[in-house]
Amino acid sequence: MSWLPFAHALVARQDLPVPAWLFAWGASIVLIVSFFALAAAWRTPRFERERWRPLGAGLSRVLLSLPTQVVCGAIGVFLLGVAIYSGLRGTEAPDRNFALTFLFVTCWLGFPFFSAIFGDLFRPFNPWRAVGRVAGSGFRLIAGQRSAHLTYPEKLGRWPAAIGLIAVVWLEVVYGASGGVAVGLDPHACAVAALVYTGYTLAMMALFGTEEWCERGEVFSVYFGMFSQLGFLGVEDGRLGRRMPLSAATRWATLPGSAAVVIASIATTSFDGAQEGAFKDAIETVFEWLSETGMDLTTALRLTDTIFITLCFAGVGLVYLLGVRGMRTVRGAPSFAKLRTGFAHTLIPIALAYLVAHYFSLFVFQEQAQFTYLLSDPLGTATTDLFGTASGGIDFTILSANAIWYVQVGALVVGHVLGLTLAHDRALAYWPDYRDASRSQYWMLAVMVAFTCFGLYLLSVSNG
Amino acid sequence: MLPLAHLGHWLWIFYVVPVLIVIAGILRSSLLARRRDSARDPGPEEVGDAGAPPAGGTGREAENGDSVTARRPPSR
Repeated sequence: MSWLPFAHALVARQDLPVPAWLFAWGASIVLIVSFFALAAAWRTPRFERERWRPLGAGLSRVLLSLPTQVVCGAIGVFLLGVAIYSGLRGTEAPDRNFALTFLFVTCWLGFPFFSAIFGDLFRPFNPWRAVGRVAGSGFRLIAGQRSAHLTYPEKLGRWPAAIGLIAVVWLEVVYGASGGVAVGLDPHACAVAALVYTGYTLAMMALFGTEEWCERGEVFSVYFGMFSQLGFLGVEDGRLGRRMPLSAATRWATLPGSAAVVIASIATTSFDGAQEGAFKDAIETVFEWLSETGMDLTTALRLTDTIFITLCFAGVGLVYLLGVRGMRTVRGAPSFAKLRTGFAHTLIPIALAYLVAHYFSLFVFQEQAQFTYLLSDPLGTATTDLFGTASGGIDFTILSANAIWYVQVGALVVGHVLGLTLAHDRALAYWPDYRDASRSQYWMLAVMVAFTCFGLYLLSVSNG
Repeated sequence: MLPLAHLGHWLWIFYVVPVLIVIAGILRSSLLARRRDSARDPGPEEVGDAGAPPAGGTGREAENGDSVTARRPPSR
């Protein structure tokens, strides 16, 4: 998130006991040991069934009741309205305006973090879904029948969400930059984008149905919903229940384009981390070359960044597909298409790990602002103090540079071990012989080690 | 003076090394497994029932293009 000076989050240089690259070696050893432990001790699939158990009926009645849904939806619509209004009428300073922090930190980072633990938290607060449902109910009341919708093309799957995800990150990280000095997205542009997205989403909901679009095409529903598959709470047949963590992910990637969503998540996070670090020299070279062709600086920079974000997507996708191709060399392997779809969910913990590693410190710092001066003075005019916290600030000393690094390493290791576990479990479902299943996962181990080392490399370079 | 000024540009190599080690291990393991399988495989003229599906396999999952290793029926 390039508009904040502490996006990748250090207030001082690290003082690590060993070089950063040794952490990558250590993380790789942890993954290799985990792989052999799984091969030895995990011989039957355990995640293919969610083992969902209902929670108390009273709790379900309260949390899933219509009044609760109405209140949550209203809160979502209200907060979206505040963000859009702040963006249009508030200060142009990105760090003093409610809109940018709320949309790109609180929501964009907060929902994945907490959904991965508790389940789909965004669904009840989704403002577009709330409006869509109200519109649908209103139509039924007036017309006396449900509104007719077009049949959603099955082959399209989640591709609109994958492309939308890249577009959201492109907007913030690429469009917001100008003339070689990255100033980030301004609040006004953010508000206009939110309005355009609202119009687009409501139109798609009118065409295909609210729930259908939220399941397949609505960017935030699909993106946050992806991480919620890791959580231990889920709703079935109108009842809230507990399920085995990670187990819901095994059924998530069945729609076309699901792999593209998770690959886009990893790629966009990688690009955001790399553009000021690992890719900086290469980006400058291409930018200078494009500038010399006569292109204006802003266009040249945006085109350069677009090229690199595309290369990131292609690179992450290629690494994954190489892992899938490697699995095909083991006897009894299913088809390439089945493997490509069947193992896509194993990348979800990695996407979450990348998110935590790159943005955890930004979230910790910027949420202090969210709940102090941004809450009391959302327009950033310094004339409002709604809750008496306008004079509050960010305490950057609560996290040391070393603490940030250790959290980053820990997140990447844990995320990749979980990814390895999901992959091993799925392999046991595809290969009846557990030895063949383990052998098939050699290549996924290579993929996991590659993503771990790549992630740590990006962090070590951007951390300085 | 030691030529260490640009060492930082080459630090990425240290991050690639674990990946290369894992890939080398995989290739070695695959080669050994292939040699083991070809040493165990008696060859086409000695197969008792070439049409039998692999033991323990679902049959329909074996779509990888490699010929499914035929197994001899148990001797009585």
